[in-house]
Amino acid sequence: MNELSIAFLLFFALFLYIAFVEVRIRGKPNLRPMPALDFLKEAFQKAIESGRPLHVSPGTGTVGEKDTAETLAGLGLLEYAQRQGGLYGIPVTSTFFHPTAMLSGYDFKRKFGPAGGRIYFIAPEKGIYAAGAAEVLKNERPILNLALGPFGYEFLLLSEAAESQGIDQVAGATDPSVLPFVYSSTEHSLIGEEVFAAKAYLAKEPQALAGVIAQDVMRFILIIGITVGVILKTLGVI
Amino acid sequence: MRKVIPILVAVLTGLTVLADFFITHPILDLVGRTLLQWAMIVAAFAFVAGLLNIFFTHTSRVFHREKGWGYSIVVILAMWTVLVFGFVGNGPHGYVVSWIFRYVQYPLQATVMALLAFFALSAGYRAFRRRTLESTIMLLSASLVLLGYAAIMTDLWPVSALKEWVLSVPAMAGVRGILLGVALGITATGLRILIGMDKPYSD
Amino acid sequence: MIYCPNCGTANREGSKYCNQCGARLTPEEGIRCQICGAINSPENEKCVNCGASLKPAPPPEEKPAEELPKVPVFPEEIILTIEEEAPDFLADLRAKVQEVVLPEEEREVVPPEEEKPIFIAEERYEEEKPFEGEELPPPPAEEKPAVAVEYREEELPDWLKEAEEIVLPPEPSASADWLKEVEIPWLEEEIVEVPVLAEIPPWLEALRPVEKAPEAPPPEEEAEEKGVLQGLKGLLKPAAIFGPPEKIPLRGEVAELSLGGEEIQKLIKLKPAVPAVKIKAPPKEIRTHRLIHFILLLAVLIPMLLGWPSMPSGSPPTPPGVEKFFQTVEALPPGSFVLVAFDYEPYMAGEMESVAYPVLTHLKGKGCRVAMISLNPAGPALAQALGERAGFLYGEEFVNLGYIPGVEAGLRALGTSEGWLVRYDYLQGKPLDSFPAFQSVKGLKGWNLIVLFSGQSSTLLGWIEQVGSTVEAPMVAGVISGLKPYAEPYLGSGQLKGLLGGMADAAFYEAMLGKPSAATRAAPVQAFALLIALLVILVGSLMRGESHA
Repeated sequence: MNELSIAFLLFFALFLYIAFVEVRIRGKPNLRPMPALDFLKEAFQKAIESGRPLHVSPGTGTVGEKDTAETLAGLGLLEYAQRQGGLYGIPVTSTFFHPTAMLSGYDFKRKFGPAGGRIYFIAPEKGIYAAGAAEVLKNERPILNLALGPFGYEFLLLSEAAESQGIDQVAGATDPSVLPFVYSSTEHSLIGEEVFAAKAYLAKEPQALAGVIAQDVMRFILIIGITVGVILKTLGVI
Repeated sequence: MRKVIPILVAVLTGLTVLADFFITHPILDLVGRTLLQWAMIVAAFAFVAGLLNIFFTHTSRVFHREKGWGYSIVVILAMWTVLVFGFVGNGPHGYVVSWIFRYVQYPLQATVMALLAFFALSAGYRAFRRRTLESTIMLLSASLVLLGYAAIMTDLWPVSALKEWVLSVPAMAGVRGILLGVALGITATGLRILIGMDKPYSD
Repeated sequence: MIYCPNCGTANREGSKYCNQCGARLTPEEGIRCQICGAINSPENEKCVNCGASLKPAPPPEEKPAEELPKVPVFPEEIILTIEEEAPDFLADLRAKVQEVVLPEEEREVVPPEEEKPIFIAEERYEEEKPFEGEELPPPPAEEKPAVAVEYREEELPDWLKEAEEIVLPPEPSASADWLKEVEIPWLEEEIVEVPVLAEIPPWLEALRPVEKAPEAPPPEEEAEEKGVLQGLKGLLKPAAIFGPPEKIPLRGEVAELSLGGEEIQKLIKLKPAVPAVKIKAPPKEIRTHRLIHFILLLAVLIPMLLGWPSMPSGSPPTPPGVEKFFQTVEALPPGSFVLVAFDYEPYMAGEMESVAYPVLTHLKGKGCRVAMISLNPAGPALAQALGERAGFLYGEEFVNLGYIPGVEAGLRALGTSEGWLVRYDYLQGKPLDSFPAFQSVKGLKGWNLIVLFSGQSSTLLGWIEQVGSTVEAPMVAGVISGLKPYAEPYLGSGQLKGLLGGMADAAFYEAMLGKPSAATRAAPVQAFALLIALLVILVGSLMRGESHA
């Protein structure tokens, strides 16, 4: 089993690199439209016109533990928002669950230029984080609540607070037990792996696009493998 | 050179811990364990940065009399109280800190999360009125599951059995699919950092 | 610093490609094609991408003037020549146009023989009158048109030569009858039926220009008497500049225009423009949501106060996971070592304590020695409170091992270390060796049962994957009801020997144990509240809502 895992990882890494080179040579591939991210682009335009800030929450995860990848996806979107904020003067307020993620927030703000907006470290407890972020929403009155990353049930608290203030929302989570809440409480949602594709859609960085392409190919391979395995198992071959 | 060193450190560290997962060797085990402990220590020190952020952010709100500055005073006082008594009372299991946790933090957290039930209901109410195909399917399955959970207290066992089937077959199939996709996304993100393609850290 | 034109990232001086997105920072050497934008080598004459010529075309040679074709280009030129040659049958009409458009003093009074078309720029320029005190610059030299139009007598078409002067009726009548009397001389030779003019439709009639009464001349302005602007008229008074602005009439207040027409008035009275940025107002469904919350509160409060409904006795079948859990604990010999993991956060304690308490009571009744551990920083405090509540004696019947940081990494270290990762207890800080009751267990070896109380899938899966494969002790789990579907596959595969999912399963466990407690009281109330919630959702979905494409 270990050998199979190593082979899978090596193949995935190789294909990731090939996809990266292809994107650099041939340019950006055509990606299927995602309505939530199209709405996000419109929201940036509204933020420029209205002057109200954005609120970005990269989830209730940490950098360094099991939910690092989802937290990095949320931080990638925060980086994009800070970059747009620095270019067009949109204040970006961000709330953090864990200080390891907060350090990245400070880094993005330093790199892309301050355009207003605060960085809040709330608390490394999920319920407390959601309550604190709800208070930030109430005080700052952002035009958009962007919540993307590893969320738990506390997401409901945050989204209801935004909804009661009339704040538009774009949200995404990876935990299947939370996805029903994400889908039902927000109109524009990103489900599961779409969270990882968000940065590729918006920033169109070659490495992010390569990751999306490689994921698609590996998914096809897995589907074929599962289908063949089910058929063989049904026929009694294995 | 200034850009290469961080990438090199990240790649080598990641590959070492990954190799430790697959290969059993005493030296590799020792190095891998040490690196993980260092990561935990660094994460713990990041809390110091978090504490400073809380202190300066809320102090600024108090001085500038921004909206909600009264609550900021409460936050600062609570933070210093727990810190001081934590240092004085030998850690988190000291009498004062334990009392604060048991009679202040725990009831407050439980109360805040008890609101989830109400918010889940209003979110569901809002979603099911959207009149789309997805929300209709969600409404039907939610009705079946809710009825199944309620019927567990009665003799309506066929409803319970149907609920168990819905949860374990179609719902689980969807969950497995999402989990597979998420796992691929996590693997791609990790590999991008391991081979130096992506840099979520600063220079 | 060089800023990338594609993504805006700052790059060091001298960089050729952007570090972030790979776009080129320095302009490439070569010729850029004007058609497709591709960069070509300086030696290329045609673009390698689209084939367009890269060299600019030479300017056309100038031809002498007599070679230029004599083609009339501008209609003014044609009219000029026609006016010179043909009779001036438009003179009367021109006069009428001037009466309508221009105020009286601006109307040119041109003797009939000197009338010229007003739309010829040269003549209009000659008629400009300078302001008082100002000298007109000398008129520019007459510029000949770009294309010379020279019509000689023999070149005129026949129909122009035979053209005669046409006299129009002096006054236009109210209706369009005058149109019927126009004689078109060049059509005399051809008999053409003049089309019968249709009646003017009412909507067009409504747009007929109405003669406007001549306005009173504006009062003569006084000239400035002193200062630099002495002698000038028409200057703004200082007070008018700094005074309040004139009231701009709203659209509804505009006086009827001289053009008239009800349709134009309707066009003017438009609705105000929609603001560019629509700030979403707080939704009106807030009141409905408050009502929903109140209904749910009553659905929970009233049954709790009344003590109804109660747990049904006997007939509902016990879930199989609950039975297996019970049997596994029941099979433990007295004095067994049980490792209990408290991996839920304080906000889940409401449900998880009702799941954990009957299990701890069962373990206490079997005389087991319990060690509590947690992957959550707040877990040890919750474990301590629950252990004391279940009646365990600290140090003899239970010990608190504290918090293990780094979920998976910590579990891996816990599972692979030959010694014991945890050296001191949470409450007293003593070495574990100082507790005689627990000296026979080292690391993960020597335990009779591992019980997991988990509120998150990450911790549950971490224990099963990292520890379950390395220890021989059976593993059972108590989880929140939302996590039960994710844990059941592990029950089916045998990795978990028992499963309690939420308050309802805990109520069944208490019934099997024969010691009803919080779960027995709360589970029926929870079921009733779920039914009410279902009714609210169904009623809400049947009510009129918004429909989305």
